[in-house]
Amino acid sequence: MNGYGGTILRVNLTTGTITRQPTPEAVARDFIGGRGFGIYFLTSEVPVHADPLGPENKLIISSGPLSGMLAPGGGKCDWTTKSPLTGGYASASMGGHFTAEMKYAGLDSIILEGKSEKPVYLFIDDKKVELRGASAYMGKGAIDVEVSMKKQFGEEFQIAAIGVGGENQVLYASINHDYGREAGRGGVGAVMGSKNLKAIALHGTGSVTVANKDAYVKAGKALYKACKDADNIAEWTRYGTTIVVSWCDEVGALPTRNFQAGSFEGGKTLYAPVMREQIVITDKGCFGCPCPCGKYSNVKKYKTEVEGPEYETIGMLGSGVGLTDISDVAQANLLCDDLGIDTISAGSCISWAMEAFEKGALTLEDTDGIEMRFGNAEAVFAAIKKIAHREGKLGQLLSEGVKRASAKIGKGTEKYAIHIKGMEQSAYATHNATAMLISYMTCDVGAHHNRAWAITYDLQVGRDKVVPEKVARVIWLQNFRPMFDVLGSCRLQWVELGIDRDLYVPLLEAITGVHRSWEDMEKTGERIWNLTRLYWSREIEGFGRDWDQPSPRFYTEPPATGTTAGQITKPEDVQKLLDMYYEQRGWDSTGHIPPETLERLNLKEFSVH
Amino acid sequence: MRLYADHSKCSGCNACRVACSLNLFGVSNPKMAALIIEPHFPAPGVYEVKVCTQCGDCAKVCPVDCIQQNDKGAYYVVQEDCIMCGACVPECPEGVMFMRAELVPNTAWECDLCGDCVEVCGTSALWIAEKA
Amino acid sequence: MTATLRPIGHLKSMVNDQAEVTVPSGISVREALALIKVPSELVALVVINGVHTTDKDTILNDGDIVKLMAVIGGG
Repeated sequence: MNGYGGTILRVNLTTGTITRQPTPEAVARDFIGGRGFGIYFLTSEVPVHADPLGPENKLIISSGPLSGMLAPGGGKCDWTTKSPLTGGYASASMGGHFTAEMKYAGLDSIILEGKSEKPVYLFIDDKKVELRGASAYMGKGAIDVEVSMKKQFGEEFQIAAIGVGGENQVLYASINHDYGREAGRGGVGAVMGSKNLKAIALHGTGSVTVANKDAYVKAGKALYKACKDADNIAEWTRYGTTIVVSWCDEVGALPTRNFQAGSFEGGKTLYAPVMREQIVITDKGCFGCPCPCGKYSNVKKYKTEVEGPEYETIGMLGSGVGLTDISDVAQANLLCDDLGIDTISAGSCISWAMEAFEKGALTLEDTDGIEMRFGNAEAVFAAIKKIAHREGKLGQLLSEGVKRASAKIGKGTEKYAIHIKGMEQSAYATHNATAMLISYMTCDVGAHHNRAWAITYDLQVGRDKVVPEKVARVIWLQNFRPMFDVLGSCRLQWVELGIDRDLYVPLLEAITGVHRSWEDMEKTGERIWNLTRLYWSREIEGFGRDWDQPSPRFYTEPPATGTTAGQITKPEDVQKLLDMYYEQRGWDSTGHIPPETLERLNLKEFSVH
Repeated sequence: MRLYADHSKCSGCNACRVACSLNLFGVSNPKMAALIIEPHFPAPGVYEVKVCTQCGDCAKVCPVDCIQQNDKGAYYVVQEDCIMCGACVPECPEGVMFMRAELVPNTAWECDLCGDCVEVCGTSALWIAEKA
Repeated sequence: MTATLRPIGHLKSMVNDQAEVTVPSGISVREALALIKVPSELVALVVINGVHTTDKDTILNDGDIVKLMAVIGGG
């Protein structure tokens, strides 16, 4: 099949059996690749009610048709699994070069099954695939493992590794690759750790066939030209995602002290130009990207290097925990990356603990003697280490995520555990921002921002407006943006540079030989979206409307300070947004997909009972 | 004329190497490109780029004279004439004279100054100019 | 005495795709944005003569070139 690696590699870690299967053409036709393959294999193969940390769960790693090709941003790899954090669907998108190497090794998906008795790593060198003993690597940082393996096998090898966090199955453990790119959210690292798989070392020397080489080169070059001609490429590349720190602060979207407010008085020293001047040394990019967003930094204060911090980490481990020194945020970032835990969820848990501590719901005994106060950088570092090692009362408590932690402690702390479906909300405060609110509420992995980023839209249309157009916009974004994950590509080239998305159509056709317009792809996107919804329904008893509710902070607690002081969405408007959403999605009022919608979307084969 | 690289602008994206392998061999395979991106991570955290300076040292030692110059004055390997003796590889001061039988069984290769790498480099880390 | 505003990226669509708009100098960035009917809160980045500033109350001088960028797409 043109544009594909051609093989699904199955690794049974229980038996040690490695199986290669040709990538099914029907799956490629209907699910295209990347995230599409992820949900297809998850729904088809992981038994209903499988224990996410048990041998029945699978970790599905997928590249896409644009991965490794002459395509701006062809560097995204999807990691899909049943989430140990939420009990539902998890899909983490990892940049770097791993996805390209998968294509060169002839692989569209790597499916990790079962559980190894002893710690192992997966070694892939073209068709040579082996499980090898990893005891020498256990306890080592994810970045250390990468350095070690590249030294041993060669610089051409691409490495993905878990840290101590994954080994300890912290429920939001991450997977590191390329010195700071992460498969971050939903606990994909915990699943890898539960299978006793420490790392994957990957090398491929093949090439990918395309349907029409001349058309492919022409279309690829046209996309690069469009990116290079974008009038804001220099500004975007200079700052990457950190460009929005100052703006979020200004519009009240910057999480401040566990989302108590959306503007941070100490925020100015976290702004992009300050960060660039103080620590950034290299604009580091993923495979094929003409506008590298990675800000690789040399942090003199701690004598360390780290990729980042990028916006989310600045929000969650900076303003969210009351830190004002960007070097402290960078150090927290490095600790999370090397220990292998998600910076967003870690930041949320730590800021929750700080609020609980300051309110007296957590005592020094609960926090192992650590002064969990906003602004205490040492407390942040100590907490990250304890979480990754599941050490002490604090580590054990916070390693479970903010929903379980607050349920355990009680005392009203649930009211400020900022999560949806058990996934900690990422770094956009949604006080009086109804489009972004419904986006978070309905995101298919829990409270994550990247499916439908709608903050500017809120400002353009009126942030408090509760109108069908906002919901329609969010739905369109949800059908469209994740399609880049399906193609194995980054979406920021379109998102940030504003290039014409129709430029991707001839590229995709020249590579795969299949014509797909964006209208076609949004239909596939809608189908995939509904399949992920179906997955939640079948896995979680009582799943539905109750699981789409936001944290009460966003409809009962107007901020006392900052741009959105005094502003909040009314509780009835939260439900009204949800009603409009279900209606426009073709779902019933309890948030379930009725048979006629399943029929229309050709999803009946995936529904249970 | 020759290719130049500014390391400080390189992001390690490898788009240049994809474009290069497409030009030389018609496939998307950075390992078959004629320039090198060497990452130095985690410290100091920079990329080093090695490009052909068109010095001609490779051509001087080729026993079958299969490294010729095109109308731009750039050296290139006449692929069908290469006997895979490997004499050229150690001569290259930049390490960008390539022979890897496991990737390309029938020829060595080096930069023919096609310019496609410059075209796709988003950070303007590459450019073509007169030899110094 | 004028300054030149250059909306870049998605922001251009808010001023009928004009690449350059002239405004009087001596006013703040915020006031200049109001003049061209661009809500100031939509502007994420302000670069005056190549220097990035986050202070929208900066006064524009004669001859200043001001690049303005919105963030429509997000992370």
